[in-house]
Amino acid sequence: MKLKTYIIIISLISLALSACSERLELSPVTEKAATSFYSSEQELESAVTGVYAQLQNGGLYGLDLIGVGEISGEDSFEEIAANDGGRFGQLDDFSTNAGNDLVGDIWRESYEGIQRVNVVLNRITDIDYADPSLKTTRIAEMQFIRGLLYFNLVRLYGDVPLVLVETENPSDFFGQGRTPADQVYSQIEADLNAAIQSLPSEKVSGRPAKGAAQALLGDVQMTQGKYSEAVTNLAAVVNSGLYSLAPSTSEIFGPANEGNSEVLFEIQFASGVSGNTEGSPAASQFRPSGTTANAKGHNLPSTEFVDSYDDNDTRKTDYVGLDAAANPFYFSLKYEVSPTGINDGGSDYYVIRYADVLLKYAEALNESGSTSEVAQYINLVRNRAGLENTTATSQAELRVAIEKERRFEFIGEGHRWFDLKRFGNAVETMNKWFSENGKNVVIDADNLLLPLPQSQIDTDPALSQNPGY
Amino acid sequence: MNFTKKRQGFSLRWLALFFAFLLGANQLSAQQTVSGTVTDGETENPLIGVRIVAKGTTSGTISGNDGSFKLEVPEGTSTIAFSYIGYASLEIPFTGQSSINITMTEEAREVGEVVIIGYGTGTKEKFNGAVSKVDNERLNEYSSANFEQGLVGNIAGVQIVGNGKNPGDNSVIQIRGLNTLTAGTNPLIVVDGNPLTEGSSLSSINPQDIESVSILKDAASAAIYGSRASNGVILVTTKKGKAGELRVTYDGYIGFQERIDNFELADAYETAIFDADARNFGYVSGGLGRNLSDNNDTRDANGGGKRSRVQPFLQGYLNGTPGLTNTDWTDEIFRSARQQNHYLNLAGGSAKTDYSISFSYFDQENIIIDSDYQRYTNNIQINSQINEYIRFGVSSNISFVDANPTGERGWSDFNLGNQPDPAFAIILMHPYYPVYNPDGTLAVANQIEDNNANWDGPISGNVVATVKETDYTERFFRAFGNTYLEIEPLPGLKFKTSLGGDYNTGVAQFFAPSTLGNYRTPVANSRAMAFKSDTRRENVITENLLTYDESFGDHSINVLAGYSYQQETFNRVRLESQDFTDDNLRNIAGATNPTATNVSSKWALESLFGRIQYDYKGKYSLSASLRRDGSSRFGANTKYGEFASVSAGWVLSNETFFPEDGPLSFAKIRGTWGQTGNNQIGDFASIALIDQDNYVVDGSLSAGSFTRTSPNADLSWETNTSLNFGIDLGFLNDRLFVTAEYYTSNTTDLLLNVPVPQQSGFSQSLQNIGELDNRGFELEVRGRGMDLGPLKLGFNANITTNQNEVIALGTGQTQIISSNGGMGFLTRVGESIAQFYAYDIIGVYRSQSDIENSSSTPLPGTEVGDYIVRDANNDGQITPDDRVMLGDYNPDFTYGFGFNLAFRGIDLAVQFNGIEGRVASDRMVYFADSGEGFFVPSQYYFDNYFSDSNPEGFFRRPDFSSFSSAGRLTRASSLSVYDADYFRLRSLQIGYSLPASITQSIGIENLRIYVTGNNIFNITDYRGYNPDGIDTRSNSTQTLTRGWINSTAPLTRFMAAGLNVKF
Repeated sequence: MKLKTYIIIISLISLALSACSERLELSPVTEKAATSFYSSEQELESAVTGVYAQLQNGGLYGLDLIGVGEISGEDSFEEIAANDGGRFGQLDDFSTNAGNDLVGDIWRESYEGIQRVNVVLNRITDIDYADPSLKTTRIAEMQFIRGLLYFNLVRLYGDVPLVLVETENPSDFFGQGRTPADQVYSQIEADLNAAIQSLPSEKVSGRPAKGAAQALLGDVQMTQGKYSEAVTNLAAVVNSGLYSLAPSTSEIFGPANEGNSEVLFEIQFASGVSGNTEGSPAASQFRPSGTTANAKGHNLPSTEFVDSYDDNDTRKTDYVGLDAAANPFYFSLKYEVSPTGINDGGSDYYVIRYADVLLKYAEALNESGSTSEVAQYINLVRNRAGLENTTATSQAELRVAIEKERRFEFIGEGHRWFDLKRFGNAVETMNKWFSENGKNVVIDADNLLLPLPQSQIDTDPALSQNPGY
Repeated sequence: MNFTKKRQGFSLRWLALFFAFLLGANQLSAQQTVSGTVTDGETENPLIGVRIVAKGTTSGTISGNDGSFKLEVPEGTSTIAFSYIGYASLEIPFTGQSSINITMTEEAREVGEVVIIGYGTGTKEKFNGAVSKVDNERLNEYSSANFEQGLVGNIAGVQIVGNGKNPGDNSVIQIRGLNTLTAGTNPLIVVDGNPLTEGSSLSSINPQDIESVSILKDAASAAIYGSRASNGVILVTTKKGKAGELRVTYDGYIGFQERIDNFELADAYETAIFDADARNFGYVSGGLGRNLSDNNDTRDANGGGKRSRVQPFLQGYLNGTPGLTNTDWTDEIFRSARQQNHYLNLAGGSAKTDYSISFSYFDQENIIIDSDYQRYTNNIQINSQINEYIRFGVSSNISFVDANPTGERGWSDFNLGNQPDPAFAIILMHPYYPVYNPDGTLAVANQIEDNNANWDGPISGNVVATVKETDYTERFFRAFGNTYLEIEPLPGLKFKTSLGGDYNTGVAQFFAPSTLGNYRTPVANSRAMAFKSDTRRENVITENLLTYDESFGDHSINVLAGYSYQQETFNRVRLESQDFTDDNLRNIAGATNPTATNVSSKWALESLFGRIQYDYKGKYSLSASLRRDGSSRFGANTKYGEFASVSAGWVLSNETFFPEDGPLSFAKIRGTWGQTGNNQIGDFASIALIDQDNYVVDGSLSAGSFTRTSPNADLSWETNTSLNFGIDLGFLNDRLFVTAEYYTSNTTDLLLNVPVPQQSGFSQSLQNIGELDNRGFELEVRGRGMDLGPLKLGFNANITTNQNEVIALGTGQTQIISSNGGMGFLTRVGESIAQFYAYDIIGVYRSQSDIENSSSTPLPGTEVGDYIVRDANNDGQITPDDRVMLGDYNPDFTYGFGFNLAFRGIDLAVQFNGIEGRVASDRMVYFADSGEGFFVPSQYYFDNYFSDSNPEGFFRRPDFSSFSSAGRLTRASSLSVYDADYFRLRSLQIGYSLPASITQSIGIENLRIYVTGNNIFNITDYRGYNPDGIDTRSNSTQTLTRGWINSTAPLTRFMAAGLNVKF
């Protein structure tokens, strides 16, 4: 009976034990917690890497930013308008509605990227780096990327909410509404100016150097019509001597040519790495249907456009290709199809390359009245493609020459729509093209901006919709 | 052996003294002995294990194998009480007699029936909460691997939904409506005292091993389970042995299932007409200067693309040429499928020990080809009274499952959408393409290659080949159970300590060979893929309960105090690869370079709880309980929560003023108030988690990180406070018993996965905000023992209503619009949860002038053949503000009724159930009704679409290549919200028992043969597979987009023949 007594007493004691709270303080086992993360240089470096990783996503430079910049223009089209819920097809005929997935994805993934930047900028100040100059560089890289993401947002959506802090409570953002575009532009310029101050001159693979920030700032200024300020920044890049055009148009794109002297800032992709998770979906999806696995016929250069290349232009064969047996439509050769998996292309996407800098510099010079200096930069690009010097001399002729050269040089890279908007002739150009090509589409100034995602307006009515949607 | 022992000299006496102040127990003193036997009043067999106590003292005993007993009766004893589970308790006045021989009768009255409640039992007389019970027989009238299916239609207040496509898949049991918006909706399921993890497989319990299922519906009854109870509590009790000789029972059936849904697709000749229309309309409307008469080359030249071409082979179909390939993919994918079950139970016991051991084998073919499920179970229950004071028991439930689920469960992990989902993919399989080549081999790639190269029709492979050539297996081994030791130092005072566990392992293996194509990936580009996933879940619980149950004259009390600690760890290791050199090894071992992931998780819950029940003369009862829970899931500031309840009842029929001989034999009114919580939010939701997002620089990988979730240190329980009022009425000596309940419940601190402005960097955030009300009415009627001579008759009926209303959402937030598959759902303050929210279609624009003369500006991009949307806000233009609420999935009412009768050897049991006032939307149906050429049209769409040949058609014009922007926006609309009511003959069983004279001559006590059926008929207007198959993939799809059917399997009818033998 002793045993029984014993059991009872023990049990009663255990019953009376008050709750022991340590047992309830469990930490995640296979996931890291933000409370203890971001506490060392190594962890901050990984957070910086996470920012770059975000840029690979489909809503950003994986697919959508390229598509929206290209398909909205007249040179590229969507083979099957209805494909993927019309996410690209609607861009083609300006029937984009607020429920379009691309509209939602660009918005969401841009802000996710901005938040990742804000987290790094908020946390990094308290962290000691072994090399303090590296910390300064990282801060500048983050400012560059935040500037880039806001530049995309403000060009696509107009006024957008401006957020520069790490989020403590997501609910705090209800009622914030949209920040006027000029304030957003001021912030972009502030970020880029700060980045220019701190970024190193030498380019490191996968990261922006000072030249990239100057080139981007030049673009931001030109987009606002500030050509003389743009000239200053673009001239700094051109005169730095750090960048040059690749020797030929066949040596720019594809994994074999990555890191060439023309690249100022790139989003890196590689096929066959880490379970095929580091490749770009653009390669296969930007192919005409039936030509390769997961070919979706997004962002195809039109036959009419390809035919307009000069026969001597090496870009006609280096930039576009055809698999006539499978499909009568051309496709861009700037994205190499992966040998390993369907959405796993290995070509880097060049956000800024030197040809773009040269032509933008030419444009800024031309618009700010330095007409005589313009042609040499156009000719650099033309001569590389095997073409003679441009014959244009007047400001108006040069304007046309620059526009034409940009179309031929950047086909498929997602520049055309932003160029049209910057030139100020988007509505006119597109309406002309639609009527000439038998399309029953007429656009107006409202079409220059995308709608805000319906899901966001549904979530927070403080976000107003753009006119026309 | 006689357990009765002399109390003198007991070393335990000091303990008795210790408790004396509490218990008011009498001092032990001189005594005498009484002996006798207990027998069953009907069969006259001895009753073994009857509990016999001298009331008001510590002396007690148990009847032996021959029903005999000997009891020491202390001086001053005036009453001796006899109690036995399932029998009416007796109290015999003690006047010094030396022998008492009594007969006990089985409890026939409803009010005496044992009600299983949390940590105890009760009776209808004393228990005041809302509890419904289904016993073994009713549960097994429906033949399924999962016991929850047996609940359908049998009790008020419970709805079973879910999109399980495979035998053994869980359904979601919903008790009294939705009490949450984004936390889990699983009720707590407690099997023999073991609370199971939310969402753990219910099919690992064989329904035949279940003695009864009790459902605690009101918060007061459930409050003793605290933070896990707000979705209700289900107490499953498995079979225990009864004292007596070994009884062997065999029950087995074998039968077949077949689909009885209404989903119907157009055949090849009709699809060809549709296809040609869709391609022609798409081409012509896609640009100016295009003509119907343009041939494919011209169409190409005009930039029409592959979707504007018309396949030349359609011409034969259009001409009606007989004998062309006309594959019925539906018939190829579904089959008549076998289902069988064999169950063997051995049970018996002696005066001190009872046991029940069972084995079962369940085998079910899926009605989807190449998929099946086999389950082996073993259940063991042993309880033993070691001596007068100590009792212990062991309960063990072991199951082994070997299943081949439909392969899409494996494919889905490779992010290939629904293309390999056989039940869904039939709308992607054009009937022009054959299943097999002339030589009998599978025609793997005819459709995908033809479409990929030429037509851009559905770019998916032969789904029959996909199903047959893909390997997917799941094997589970699970053992759960507990051991307990119960000590009763003094009569009425019990201490029970138990240790339980649940050990659950699973291995899933998937392999798809390179010889299959999948979406837009023809065979030539295809790669083999495989994964292997090992999961292990370990759950341990320890509980210590102290109960005191005693009567003092007219007063009786029952006190419970308890402590419980439960923890669970979960681990999954997964290997995956798409990198195979060849198909020789059909598993992950053949992979060159598999990637591995390891996921672990854990939670812990620590609780203290107590309850006091008081009863006066069986007339007035009061009860109060309190539980304090601490959970690892909640924020640092809110780890602990308290949940209280009180209840009161008044049994009018025990009052002296109540007429004794009237038709009303029992009457009780009762009310309860209680609070419960919901903690189903995932294990680490309160902590901001870092996730990995890597980047590659110059081909080499570098690790990246980001904050995936936002922190919330204040994250806490949802608290549900509810009131319940009930009336129980028994008529004709309780042969007719009516229970009515009315409840209101209010959930505050809603765990809400709130959509937040995305500029925060997050799309959603889990917060405790908002408030929700539920109210409903439930009525259950039961008739039993209605004998008309040899005809025995019983019946049951129930009806349930439930309404919910959102009272508040986040601060400043008045509505949440969610969408699933394009269908919008509105959850707005003042309305019910998840109203379908879409454009209201009032017609089709049949000409350009219709559009031009439209009374309101149509949606941008509207073309002829698009839908006319009602201008709901009358502002002259169609905008997102014209979306309207189109009803919800929560039914106006559900009902069930049935009867059972027995006449000589024949027995019959029939159960009907139905649902009224409910709408649903089904992705497959709306795709098949969409007019987009990618999908095979439903017969209904084909018969009713607007075209030149059917100018009155009410569905939009088919359009393959240039589907308009307006068409996109109206893809999910009022036309895709379907009436989802039904009325079913849920189960039917007819049996015949051979006369005892025949069976006993061959040594069999009872032999019964029966035929049984499920879903014998189903009356519904619903055109999809099954309106119960709503999307339950995540908590929020289950509530905020409730009514959305993503993909489910057809409703089946099951017919079987069975045999039941008792030795």
